Amino acid sequence: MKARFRDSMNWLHTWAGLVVGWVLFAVFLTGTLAYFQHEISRWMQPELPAAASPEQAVAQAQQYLQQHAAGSDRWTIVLPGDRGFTTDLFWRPAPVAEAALATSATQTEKRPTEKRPANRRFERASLAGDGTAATARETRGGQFFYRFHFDLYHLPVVWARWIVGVCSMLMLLALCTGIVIHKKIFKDFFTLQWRKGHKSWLDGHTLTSVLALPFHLMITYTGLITLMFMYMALAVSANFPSSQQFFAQLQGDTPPVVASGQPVALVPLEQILRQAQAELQGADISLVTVHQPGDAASVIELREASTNSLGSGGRELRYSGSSGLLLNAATAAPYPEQIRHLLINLHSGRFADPLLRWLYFLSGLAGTAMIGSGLILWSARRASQPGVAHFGHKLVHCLNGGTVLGLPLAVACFFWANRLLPLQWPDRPEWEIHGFFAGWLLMLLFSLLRNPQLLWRDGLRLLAAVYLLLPLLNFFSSDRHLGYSLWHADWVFAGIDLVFLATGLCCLQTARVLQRRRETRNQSAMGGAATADLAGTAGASNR
Amino acid sequence: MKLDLSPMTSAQSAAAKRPWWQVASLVWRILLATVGGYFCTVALTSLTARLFAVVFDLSLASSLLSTMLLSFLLYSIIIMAVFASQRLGRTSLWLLGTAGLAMLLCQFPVLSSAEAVVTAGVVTTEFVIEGAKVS
Repeated sequence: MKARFRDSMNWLHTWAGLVVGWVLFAVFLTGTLAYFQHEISRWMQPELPAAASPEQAVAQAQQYLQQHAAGSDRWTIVLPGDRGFTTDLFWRPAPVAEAALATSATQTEKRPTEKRPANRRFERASLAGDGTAATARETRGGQFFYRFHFDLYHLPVVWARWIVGVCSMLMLLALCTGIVIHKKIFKDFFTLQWRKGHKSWLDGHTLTSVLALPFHLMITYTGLITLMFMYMALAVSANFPSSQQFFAQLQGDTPPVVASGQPVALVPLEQILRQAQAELQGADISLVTVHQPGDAASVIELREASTNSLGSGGRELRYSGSSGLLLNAATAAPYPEQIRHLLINLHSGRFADPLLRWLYFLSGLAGTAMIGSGLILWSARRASQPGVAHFGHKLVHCLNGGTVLGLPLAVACFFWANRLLPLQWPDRPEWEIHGFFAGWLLMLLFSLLRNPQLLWRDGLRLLAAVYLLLPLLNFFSSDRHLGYSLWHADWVFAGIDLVFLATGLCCLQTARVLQRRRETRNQSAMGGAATADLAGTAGASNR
Repeated sequence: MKLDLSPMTSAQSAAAKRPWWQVASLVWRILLATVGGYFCTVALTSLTARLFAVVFDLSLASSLLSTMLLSFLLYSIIIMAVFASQRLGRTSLWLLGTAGLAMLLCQFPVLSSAEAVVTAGVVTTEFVIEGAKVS
């Protein structure tokens, strides 16, 4: 493309990074927050009691489901694990009730009659640690960030995943080309240049990239792997008549469970859970599915959690629901399938202990900062060149402000909405999410209207205020304020409040630096050396 | 779209006179890298999967999964190669040619029966391996 290889790669790096930078920034930030999704959910439901042990949880779930979901053909129980606080239950309503519902619906509403049972909607419930349906405020909690980082929102899921996939592929390209163009990767690392306009931005970009480069490469590649069967579906359909055949060959075929019609009481799930744990040498179980509960042909499926180690997870055991006998031993998947599992575990980090989890979190923040500083660098370089400001430059500047400042504000608004909305507000979870997007939109408008030279300083001041006040809001809106949680060594609540404080202080400090730099520049401008370095005032990024 | 078959140096001098040519060649390059690169990746992934299945006596699903795990790496290399190319016309021919050839080779009886090998027993497998040696 260009005469020199490095120049072509530089071109590719610049444009591949720019066109998807804003989506990537959102994906990286929410994905990073998702490493603490259970802790965030916990903070967002301060009234929940402590979680139950797996054995208690599964027994409580069985009791609850027998009362509320008798006659359903499938129960799914998601156990709380080490970090969760509720047992989540899903079931398909009993066919009879559904049929009655469907006929009444056709008489009155436009809801179509769904004939295929697979299409029926799931009912769900969350059980608190004491086995009763959780009465905590309704919220999507940290799961919102987790889903947002690959499903986005307000978009059909399939589109969203393709968009995120294309962005990730360009991210991978930007990383590869970034390595190629950066010949003196380690030398530059030791010659940081502070306060040198866009050169400082280049160094900031390099620093955040190089520091966590293995993480960035790993997280991008394994992110693509998690949705590989969607992105590379063509490779499957080019070699197999149907994807079912492909998966059957790979993971083994399990026949569907057909009800015999003969009622037999379900064995206690607690006992099956203990058996399964013994069978899997003490591994944790994350998911219990009961097919045709209360029938003689009933089958209990237990899936191993991926929380124990990097290679763990994915093994499945099947027990008879009437006799409690083991139906199939846990077989090891083929090696490529095990590798795929391992790569996905590496991405989701469920196995990580607290220290490693913080490393994941910090590396994720570095990745977010890398994208943010890259976007600002694009603006700063072009602003430092003399000439008339181009429309595209202004657009990028606004989008940069609206995203790099807007996403952190959106996250803060999500937390604010969680505490400020009345508890009985209809559609409460949805309104928290409206809060998230309102924050983002607000910052987009702000960056459109505010004087470009003051945008970053004022935006950061706003962020600082919003984050510094969050622990105070927690103090007034729950009985688990920072003092209480520190006193009782409740590190989930204390940690989140402290992160809010740290974020606020970082924003405040950066705003101060910008202000000081602006003052010195004004003084030197009065001395006669006026340089219009618009985005030289552009402030530090991350959160 | 007309292919730019001339070397980059002359294309550059032509581009100075004709800006639309520059735009067209950039659009073609992007399409070639993304769409062409994707099909080429899928074709090469399939071909290597079928080869591995026959040579290492794996199930086609396993070997396809292995090559799919590497496919994103291959895709990025292809895209970078297309953008680095000095002679876009020649690169286009190479890329599309490779994709087509790989697709054709997948239809080769020895390789296309790899799927049947998995379900049929040992006898067929041996037969196919011998067939691979012969070819």
